[in-house]
Formats: sequence, C-alpha cells, structure tokens
Amino acid sequence: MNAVKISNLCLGYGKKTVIKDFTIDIEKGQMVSIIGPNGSGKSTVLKSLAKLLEPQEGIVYIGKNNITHMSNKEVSTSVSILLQHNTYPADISARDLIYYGRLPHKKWYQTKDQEDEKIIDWVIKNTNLEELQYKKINCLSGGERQRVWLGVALAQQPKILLLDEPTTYLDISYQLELLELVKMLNQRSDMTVVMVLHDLNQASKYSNRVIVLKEGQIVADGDPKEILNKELIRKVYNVESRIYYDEVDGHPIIIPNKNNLGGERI
Amino acid sequence: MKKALIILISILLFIITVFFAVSMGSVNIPLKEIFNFLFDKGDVINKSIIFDIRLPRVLIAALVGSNLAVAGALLQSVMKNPLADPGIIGVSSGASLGAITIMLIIPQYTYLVPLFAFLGGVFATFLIFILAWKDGIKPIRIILSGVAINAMLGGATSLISVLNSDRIQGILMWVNGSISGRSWNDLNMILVYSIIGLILSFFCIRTSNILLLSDEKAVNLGINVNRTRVLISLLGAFLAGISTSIVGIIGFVGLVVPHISRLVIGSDYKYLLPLSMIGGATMLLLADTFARIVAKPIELPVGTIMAVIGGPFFLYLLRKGEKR
Ligand SMILES: Nc1ncnc2c1ncn2[C@@H]1O[C@H](COP(=O)(O)OP(=O)(O)OP(=O)(O)O)[C@@H](O)[C@H]1O
Ligand SMILES: [Mg+2]
Repeated sequence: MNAVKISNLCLGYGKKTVIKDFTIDIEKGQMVSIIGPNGSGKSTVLKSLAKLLEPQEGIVYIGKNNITHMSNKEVSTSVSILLQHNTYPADISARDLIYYGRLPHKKWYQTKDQEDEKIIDWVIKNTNLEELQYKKINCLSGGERQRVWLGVALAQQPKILLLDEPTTYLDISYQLELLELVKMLNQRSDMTVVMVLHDLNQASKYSNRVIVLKEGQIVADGDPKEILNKELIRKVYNVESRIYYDEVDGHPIIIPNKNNLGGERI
Repeated sequence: MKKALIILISILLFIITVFFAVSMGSVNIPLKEIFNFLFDKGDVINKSIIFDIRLPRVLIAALVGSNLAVAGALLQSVMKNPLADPGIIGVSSGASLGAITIMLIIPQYTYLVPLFAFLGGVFATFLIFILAWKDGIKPIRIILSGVAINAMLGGATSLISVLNSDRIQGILMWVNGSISGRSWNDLNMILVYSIIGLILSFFCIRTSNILLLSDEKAVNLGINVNRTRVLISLLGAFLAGISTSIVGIIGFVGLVVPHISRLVIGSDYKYLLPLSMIGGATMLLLADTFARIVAKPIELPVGTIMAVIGGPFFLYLLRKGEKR
C-alpha cells in the first residue's frame, strides 16, 4: 500500500517552476530522506505533501485521496509537518503549543479532554520536555524550541510525518535522540516518515530510502547502500569524498574532503 | 486561575467606573443618591439627568469601547501585527465615509447608517490587505498604507461634507468622534449589532490563536487560512463600523487596550479577548467621563482625548517593534 503517490508533479512559486515532472511512490512505513544542495527544491516537495503548496501540474495522493480534493482538516489529521521556519506568540508555554497539535482532531466546540492530556504527556515525555513544559517558548533555546515543534507534529498523531531539517539547532546528542525517536515511531506504529536532511551520514544511517535532488530533478533514488557513492556526491555537490562502510549495519559513511569549486579558485 | 482572577478584578473596576461616570458631570450626583434611585426614591431632576442623559451615554461609551478593543484584537491576529487598530489602518475612516454618505446625501434613510458604515469599514479592510499584505503585514507597511487609506477616505469624506455644507452642522461633533448628546435611540441602534458581534468574536478565539503561528503551520493544523482571515476581518470591520456609525472616529482604543491586556494576561485569546472587551469598555468610559468634566462646562470630543492618550503610546509601540 502506498502512503504517498506523486505523479508528474510540477511545483513552483508564481510563474517560476522549481520542481519539474516529479514522480515517486512512497510505501507505507518507509523512512525516506530527501537530500540535495541548498535551493534544490527539498522543502518545496515536502510542502506539497502537506497541501501547503498547490501543484502547478500533476497530482499528489495521500493514501487513495487526491490531496487537492481533501480539506485542510482532513490533511492535517493524517499528515503533520515540522517546518524549517516557525513563528509563535512569545509567551505561550511549550505544553500549550503542543496542545495545538491536537486541534485537527477536534470539532470547533470540543475542548481539551483526558485523551488529549494523555497524548500530550506522552509527547512531552518522548521529546524530553518534562522539565521545560511550563516554560514560555521565548525562554527556550533554539534546540529546545525545535523539540517543541516536533512535539506539535507528533501530537497530531500523523500517519505521515514530514520533517524539514529537524536536526538544525540540535546538538549531536539531541540530533541522535530525535532521529532515534522518529525511527522508533516509524518501526513501532508504521508511521511513514519523509525528512529533509543535510547530513548525508544521518540520511544514510536512518533511512531505508534516499531521494537525491538537484535543481528540482531527481538524480538518484533508492537504498542508501546502493546509491550513495563518490560519483554521486561529486555530481550533486561538486565535492570529492571518501566512502567507508559501517561495520555494524553496512551503511555508507561519507567523508567529504575537497570542494572542487574552492580548489579551482586557489 | 490567576487569569480568571484578573478578569474578575477587571469587571469590578468596570462597575466602579460606571458608578463614577454616572455620578460625575456638570452636576455631581452623590453615589448615595444613585443608590436611592435604584429603590425608586430621590430627586426627580437628578433622576432624569441620570436616566435620560448619563446612562445612555455611559452604556454607549462602554459598548463602543468593547467593540473597538475587540475589533483591534481580532485585526491584530489576522494581520499578524499589534499595531492594527481600526483607527490607524483606516477601517474607521471607511466606516465614517459610509455613514456620512447616508447622513448627508440621503438623510431620510438614517437606519441604513450602520450598514453603510460596515460596508465602508469592509472596503477599507479590503484596501489594506491589497496594499500591505505580504505574508503578514510588517509594521512599516501597515502604517504607510494606513496613512494612505486614511488620507484617501478622509478626503472623500471632506468632499462630501463640503458639497453638502448646508447640512454639516448637525454632524460636526460626530466627525471628531464624540459621544455627546447620545440617547436611548442611539443605543438601541447599535445594541443588538454589538451583542451579536461580541458574541461572534468568542467563536474566533481558537482560530485567532492559531493565526499567530505561521500560515503554513496554521494550514497544517487544519485551518482554512484565507477563509478564516476574511471572516475574522469582516467581524473586525463590523464591530468598528457599527461603532463609528454612532460615535464617529475614535482611534487608539483598539491599540491601547489589547496591548495592555496582553501585558497583563498574555496573548492567549481565550483570556485576551474577554479582558479586552471589559478593558475597552472601561477605558472609553473613563476617557468620555474625562472629556465631560475636564473643561466644564465645555465638553471635549472623546476622540480627541483618545488621540492625546493613544498617540504617544502608539509611537512607543512603533519604536519597540522596530528594535526587535
Ligand atoms: N516562497 C517562495 N517564493 C518564491 N520562491 C521560493 C519560495 N520558496 C522557495 N523558493 C525558491 O524555490 C527554490 C527551492 O527552494 P526550497 O526552499 O525548496 O529549497 P531547499 O532545497 O529546501 O533549500 P535549503 O536547503 O536551503 O532549505 C529556490 O530557488 C528558492 O529560491
Ligand atoms: Mg529547505
């Protein structure tokens, strides 16, 4: 069963087209990373999966449904997104913000109930925010805030979780923790995960499928063990690298060592 | 619970202000006598002063204050900008143009004044979105477009006034924003509308809160952002419009009251909206009472008083906003 099906999708802003003729299927329970240089269209693709951007052409299916024909409410109960940039009222507490993640599941007249509290408690525990939950978001560090926004996305209890650079602002310990948490959710509840990552090694380690974008086109798509190699890195990032393979699970580890552009300039 | 207490205190303050406002004026009527009236005793003339003159005026001031403060709070959410006040951004000018058109050109249709004031307010709101909207409205853009819209609509209002200068006498006080000489009839004209508008505003609490997040996250929380933005703006224009139709342009209530409320009770609309409602009533009532007694026996237009209080406050907010 496909969680997401995208056929001949074109996306862009105004008249400009950023993504051209994009076609992929994502199976339920897959953990997919999208990688590629800045401006290659990663966030753009992710937004279209949450109906934040209407396709210029082509169709996005969530399950069996054409996303354009779904209401925002329907989409938000099955897809949640952690965005790259967020705004918020300065004085809201972490816990109250995470509660907003419950709103897609509520009718306009329903208020917070026992079940919401339970879900919020679970989210707060798993995002390690117990100590911070009553603090105002303005008083949290960038990384702590990022965890709160992940909490909002998780409180939505999505079937499909979209993460746009979830590890920015986080120190390595929390980076690992976040990715482990997402992986655990993915394995335990069969939640489909599509994330944009900049760290190739994290993409390699934590996903069973990597989609490589360059200038809005798919350059490679598949199991990281099979597709991540020196030639690809050179082609996409213009960087020379060495590749090792992890002793435990065999995922490729990429060590970049020379930027070709920089080299030429010297 | 602390927040519920704050609201309770604000209600007490409001009630005290009402008694204060009823007792003060060209003739000061002691509180004891006012209580006597409640039991059908006391001086007949004083009773008439209170029930025929002061009470309707006090109620209008309170109602209009609530309307304007709530309109401001709502517009601030949809425009993502704490400077969005119906007076500053031109909604009141639009309403005023609508109202004056009826009052001067077809005075036999006075009952249409609130409707046209509302339409004028909607027109101005529409203009501000066209001129200033760019993924939210930046302070500087909202000010500039507000100035432009106020100038444009104010110009149109002047034009109509000049062309009908024979009839202008009766509405001169109104133009400056004044609650002077308002009667039970005037109150009746806006009472029902105001109550409907204020009740509707409570249905906007959740969405107003979510609109404070980025539009993208709001969509992902199931909100139909564009439709919601239009509906809440309409409600804001409605509240400001009907108020303008009865008292003229009174600025800054929608700026000062929600701002102070936010400092006191936080930005959650669940508390911010009720507090603004009560705070707006108290603030305008105080300002109007002040306008009545400060230069006795001359009455100042309350719009002028609000401008004197609100102007510096506005500049302070503007500076603070820029620093951030
Ligand atoms: N709101 C917008 N309006 C106009 N153009 C945009 C907008 N957002 C993105 N773009 C353009 O679309 C292209 C792809 O942007 P996108 O944000 O998808 O890149 P990205 O791969 O996520 O980059 P990054 O790694 O920097 O986050 C870029 O050329 C960008 O300039
Ligand atoms: Mg991006």
